[in-house]
Amino acid sequence: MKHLLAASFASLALGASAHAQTTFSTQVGQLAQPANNNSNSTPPTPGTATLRGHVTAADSGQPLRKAQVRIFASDIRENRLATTDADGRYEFKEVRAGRYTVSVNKGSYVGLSYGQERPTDPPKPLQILDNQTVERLDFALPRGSVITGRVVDEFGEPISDVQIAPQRYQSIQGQRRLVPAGRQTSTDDMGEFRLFGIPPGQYYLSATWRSTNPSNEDKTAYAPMYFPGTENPAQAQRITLAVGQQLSDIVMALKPIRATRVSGTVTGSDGRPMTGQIMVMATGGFGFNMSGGGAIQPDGTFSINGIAPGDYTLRAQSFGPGGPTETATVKITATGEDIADLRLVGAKPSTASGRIVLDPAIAASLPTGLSLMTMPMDPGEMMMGMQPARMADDGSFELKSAPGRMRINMMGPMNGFTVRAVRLNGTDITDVGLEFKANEDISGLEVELTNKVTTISGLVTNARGEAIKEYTAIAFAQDREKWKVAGRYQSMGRPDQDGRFKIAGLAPSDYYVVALDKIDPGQVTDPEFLDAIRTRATAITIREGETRTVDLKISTVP
Amino acid sequence: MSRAFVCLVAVLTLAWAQPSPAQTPPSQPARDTPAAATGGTAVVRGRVVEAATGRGLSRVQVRANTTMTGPPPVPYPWAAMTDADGRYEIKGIPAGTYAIAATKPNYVRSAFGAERVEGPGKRMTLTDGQVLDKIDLRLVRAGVVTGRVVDEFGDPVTDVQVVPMRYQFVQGSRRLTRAGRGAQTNDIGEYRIFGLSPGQYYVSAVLQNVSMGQQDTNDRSGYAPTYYPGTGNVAEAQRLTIAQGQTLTAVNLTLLPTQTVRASGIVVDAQGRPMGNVGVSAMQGFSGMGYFGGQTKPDGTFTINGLTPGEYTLRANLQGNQEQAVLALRIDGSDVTDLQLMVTKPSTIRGRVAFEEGGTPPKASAIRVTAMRADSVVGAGGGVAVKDDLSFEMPLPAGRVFVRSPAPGPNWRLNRVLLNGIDVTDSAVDVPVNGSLNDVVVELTDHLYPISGRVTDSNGTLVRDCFVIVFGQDPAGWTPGTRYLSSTRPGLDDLFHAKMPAGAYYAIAVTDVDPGAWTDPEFLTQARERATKFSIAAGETKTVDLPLSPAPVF
Repeated sequence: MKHLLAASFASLALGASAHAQTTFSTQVGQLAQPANNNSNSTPPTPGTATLRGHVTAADSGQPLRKAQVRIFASDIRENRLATTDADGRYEFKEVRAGRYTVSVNKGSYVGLSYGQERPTDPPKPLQILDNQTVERLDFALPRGSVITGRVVDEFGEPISDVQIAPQRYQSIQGQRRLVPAGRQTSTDDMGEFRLFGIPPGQYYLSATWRSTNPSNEDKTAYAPMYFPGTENPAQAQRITLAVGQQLSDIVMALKPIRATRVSGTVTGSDGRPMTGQIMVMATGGFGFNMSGGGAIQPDGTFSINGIAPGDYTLRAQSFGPGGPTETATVKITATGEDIADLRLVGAKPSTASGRIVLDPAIAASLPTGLSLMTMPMDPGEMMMGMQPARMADDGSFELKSAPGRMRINMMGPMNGFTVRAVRLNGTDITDVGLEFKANEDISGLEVELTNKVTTISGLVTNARGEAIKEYTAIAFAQDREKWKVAGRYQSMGRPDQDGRFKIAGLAPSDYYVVALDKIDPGQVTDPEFLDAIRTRATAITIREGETRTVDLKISTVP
Repeated sequence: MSRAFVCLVAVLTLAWAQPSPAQTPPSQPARDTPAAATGGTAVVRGRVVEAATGRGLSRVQVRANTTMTGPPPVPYPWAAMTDADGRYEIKGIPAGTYAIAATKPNYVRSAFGAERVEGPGKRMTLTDGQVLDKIDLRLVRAGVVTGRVVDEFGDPVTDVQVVPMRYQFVQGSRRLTRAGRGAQTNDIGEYRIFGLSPGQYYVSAVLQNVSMGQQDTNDRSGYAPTYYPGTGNVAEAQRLTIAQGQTLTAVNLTLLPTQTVRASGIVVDAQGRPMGNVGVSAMQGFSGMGYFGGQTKPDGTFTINGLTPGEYTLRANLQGNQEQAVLALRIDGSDVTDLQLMVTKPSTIRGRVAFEEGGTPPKASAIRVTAMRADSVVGAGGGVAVKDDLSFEMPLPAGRVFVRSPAPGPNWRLNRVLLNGIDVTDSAVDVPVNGSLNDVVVELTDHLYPISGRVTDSNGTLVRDCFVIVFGQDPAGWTPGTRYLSSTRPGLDDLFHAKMPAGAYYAIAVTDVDPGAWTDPEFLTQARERATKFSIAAGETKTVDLPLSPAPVF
């Protein structure tokens, strides 16, 4: 489990990390010649802009020292960090021109980005020009709120290692769901917890127990609970936190329920007992939700106790050098009755071989150092056992994937390129994905890249026709079917200092564009919300490589 | 400037890479097999109370542990949970000998009739239909350490990892390693480490700046790993003794500001060509504290910021690919430049398993061949199952390793390892970069001869609760996973039992020893001063009675 997590975090981090600035020359004697001679390999010249400001505590006005300030511009792969001095000052020199997000974090304070009025607002871009000096880019960080309390069992005894999370409603793929927001914590041996650094807002508090010893004989488990003491999120009590508020001595008593023991055997595809790890994950949640697990015995048997009622995916995997070699999954429903004699049979991951090619209509060379991996088409599906594959110099790749319907996700320095189409033996599967079946390999996959990227930009005016600088612009495909395709047909933009928004990289199609006064995270992918606002939107068609300017009137969110 | 060697990776196989009690060959002779899980009629009941308050403890797991050998049945049938008042009743126990033990999270495990904390329980013989009442147990809360972490200005620091540590023998050296779960400081700098077994600990605090390694920064400020009460020097760290049930409060630390350093270099492929956009990580060695990441630029160069002094394992990761580069790196106070990481396929050890002439050999499916690191690369061991024709092929990162095979049963054990016909059992082998060792013979033997005896204290009283360590007289054989070392405890018959190859040995009986400490040559060097010498010849059965020794000062 540990290294799976690490692997997937590493891949997420890949897109966001860069070393554009450091000039660094290395002489390694025996190296014959560099692998590539394109312009990528020369380090960029240092920028000419300067950026400076102060970080203070919003309540006291006192300077905050050792706050971390980060500036990040994805298109030019600039990612830099500075720390404030004893007077709360920070400075970036030799900054390259670009469209940056600027964010500040300090311990238990609420982190803020440039352009955020509320911590849930999307940040605004800061357009930095050559030779520009941006002064007084100041941040006043609100003190985080604190919730302290205690979790006890049915006897009033403290329970340790209960996961405590502040949750808030968010729209995910059109469904309003409670999702963890911000820091989480777990109870100590006194059953006590202290959640801190919470941005002001409305929350629901959840307490999730999981067995600390899946090999014990305890028949008691505890259902996940929302404050003050319900399993039903609809009955959870809303907690409203003001800036810097401390809410103390919350007590939650967990309710015992009958635990399920799951046992069985795992056989490898060679018919021999499979060894490795087995994990039990709650299904329906987003991300990882480990509820138990343990090692598979040398004879292929496993037994895991302490599973609370609910739906789970059991996943067995063996490990070899370079990652999981065989996996087996099965879905179970725990009701309190033991589940015995489960038989899992391991399968090797499927291999998809193919090639990355360039749009024949453009004159450019293929970017180097790209990786790609499969992602489940359904974003609610567990992301496990997926491994990025590296593109060879000639564009070919060999990708391993877990079974299921997958789309192809590019990673690494795209340098202004975007995916134009994904084809499987000539058939366009860009928006529908491809089905991986256990023990079946796929060949003839083709990913076509282009640097003809679409751009929509514009200015926004209010009812009186005055230009405004506070809004969120969103663009979404006119065809509702396309809303299901992650990442290609919906996007949003925020105004820069001039009030201009810019949305780049949407797939060519017919779109609605609308500027809204406020938007909650997740609404961009909420079909109900999009249906409600389409009537106020401006319809446009954007073709490959086209740049469109669309000036908009602000709309009030219904 | 340092230049380092390059090697490749296998998977995280820490379990194989570190000596542990599990790797010492089994020494208990098989006596009985576990009784059938059904049909018992004996009953054990009693009450579990908290030692400090005398109140009944709920949800304590009480088990009647069978003293018979063999894997315990799963689920374990002779166990019960206490009720609100701490009462329990275990029913349906077959006639036999048992020890009763109680466990509850954040309490120290306790066995009925134990002579000391965490000691083995009194063995009790149950007959059919017998009801054993008033088997009462007292549980002591596990140790707790609390305190506060501040910076050089006295301000509380959030998100500091505070970790209990102990000295352990790992990959050939005694190192301060993590011992138990740590804790993280909250918004007011406070931490609480709980669930600690009684013993001696060091406490260290590390502020990990996760994002620092990946980002471009000229900021060289950072904090060195700080040991309580406030030193970066392990030798000056203050040892804390946690007695049973003790809570140590105000274990406060002030983080030591330090200049951090950079490690930089280049990642190349097997042909020496630079590799752009490869993830490079630096993991702080054996303390398990600290992870730094970066990525190569298109020209293959990389820089990792924010490193504080210590041992690191550097890895270049080709995502989803078996090809990797691994390198052990020591950071002192200055920048490290010109590192070269060559990414190649894993190296391979190929060979076969052979048996010294003897009884029925174990099944191929029960045999594994493993590699234990003899260098300081962390998490780069290897291990494979043997094929049906007794051949094996083990991918692993290049470097120095001991080839081993865990005992496939009580009667068979590693005898020797041959490379091209030369005995390399106790001398590690060098696995070449981008290459293989092709003629490795791992020979197992059943030529093991029984040694048994009783342990008495200075009054001549029989001692049942102790550890007996039997080890070869020749220090050349004190290698990780050696066949000339056994640890055991007296059994039901009041005797300890071990099975060893013919040879000259020491044996020592001690009351207590940290798990795995007996694999440390330093421990063995001290232990032999007061150990009993003996030899065992092929075919011989040896009786060696031992006096109980004070534990070596260690």
